[in-house]
Amino acid sequence: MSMFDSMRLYGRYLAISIRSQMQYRASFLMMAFGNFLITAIEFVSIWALFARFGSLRAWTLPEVALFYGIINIAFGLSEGLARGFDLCAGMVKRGEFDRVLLRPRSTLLRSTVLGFGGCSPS
Amino acid sequence: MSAYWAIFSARFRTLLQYRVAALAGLGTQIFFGLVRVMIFCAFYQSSTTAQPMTYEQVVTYIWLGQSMFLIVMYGVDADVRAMIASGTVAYEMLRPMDLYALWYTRAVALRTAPVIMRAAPMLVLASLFMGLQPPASFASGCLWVVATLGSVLLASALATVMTISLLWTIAGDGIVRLLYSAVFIFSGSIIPLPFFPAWMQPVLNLLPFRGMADVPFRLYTGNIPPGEAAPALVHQFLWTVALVCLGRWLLARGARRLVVQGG
Repeated sequence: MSMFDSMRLYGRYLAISIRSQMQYRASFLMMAFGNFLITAIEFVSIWALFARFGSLRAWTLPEVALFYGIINIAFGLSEGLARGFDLCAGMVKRGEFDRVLLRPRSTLLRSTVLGFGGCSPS
Repeated sequence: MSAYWAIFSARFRTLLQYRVAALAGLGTQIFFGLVRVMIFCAFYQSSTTAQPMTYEQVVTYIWLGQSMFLIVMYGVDADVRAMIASGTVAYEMLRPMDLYALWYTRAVALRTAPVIMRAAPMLVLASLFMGLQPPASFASGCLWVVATLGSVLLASALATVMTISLLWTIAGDGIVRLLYSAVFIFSGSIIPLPFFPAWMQPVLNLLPFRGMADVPFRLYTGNIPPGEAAPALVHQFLWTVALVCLGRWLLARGARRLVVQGG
């Protein structure tokens, strides 16, 4: 299979994932908001430490905030695009991973998109 | 009562089986503990202003947090979540026992066996090599034990409310995460609560979350002296009762409107 073909398939998986998450719209919105809150609220602790201590050696709060933002964007992108790897362990444990191996596509591609269809990986 | 005890001990023994997972978790916790100690080390070195806790107290607080983090960390019961998603929760409702007590018992087991397995080696290693101090006094140590037991009961009550909320949301990651972010930061799991600005302290003192981590840890370090322990423990107890009542009420409502599809 060509690389282009695989990427197209991956794109379709992404589209299916988004559509299936829209079936539980309230949960999706709360999760998006929750993730935003987690990111924001954990920053509160960094802010609180800077408020108490002033500065960290030569570093100031805005500089640390920039790092925090970059790292969280990178984390969000990787979670959004390849979270399937998180589910591999559970599938191996339940003996379901052979299903992935049996697909006529790259195992890597299938692993990347595990669980994209909804709650249960298949 | 004996039925619930049997469920607790069966769950407890099942969870004790995952020893390698506990060992792997131990490594992770030590790593993140060291990172957090380093952050505070750097902050204390770059400032001389008076702080609400001494550096030694903070280090002890961090290691207690790393060893007890599973009390706070475990959210909903994954098995119950799967049962609600698949509809087999109907079988749970047919059992000749009180459903709330059953789920609460499972939540308590989830917060004891894994915690004991991880906390024991962690506390030994941290006190030998990584600056964990012994309790400030004998009384502080005793109060820490009491408050830790209380924190298990409180965290279990909150987690059971979260689990029951899945009866409405089903997929459920949303609301659980939402609560989680609050639990995580306001229990003192990220930074000790005294480091938050003074104007936030009354709010933090009112919220239930500090009873899950901050109170036991500060009792241990003596940051809350034994003489002032009573209000903190009463706060913890009252929130536990309130959350149990809330959970029971939610479950009664949820069970009434529950529709299980298929057959």
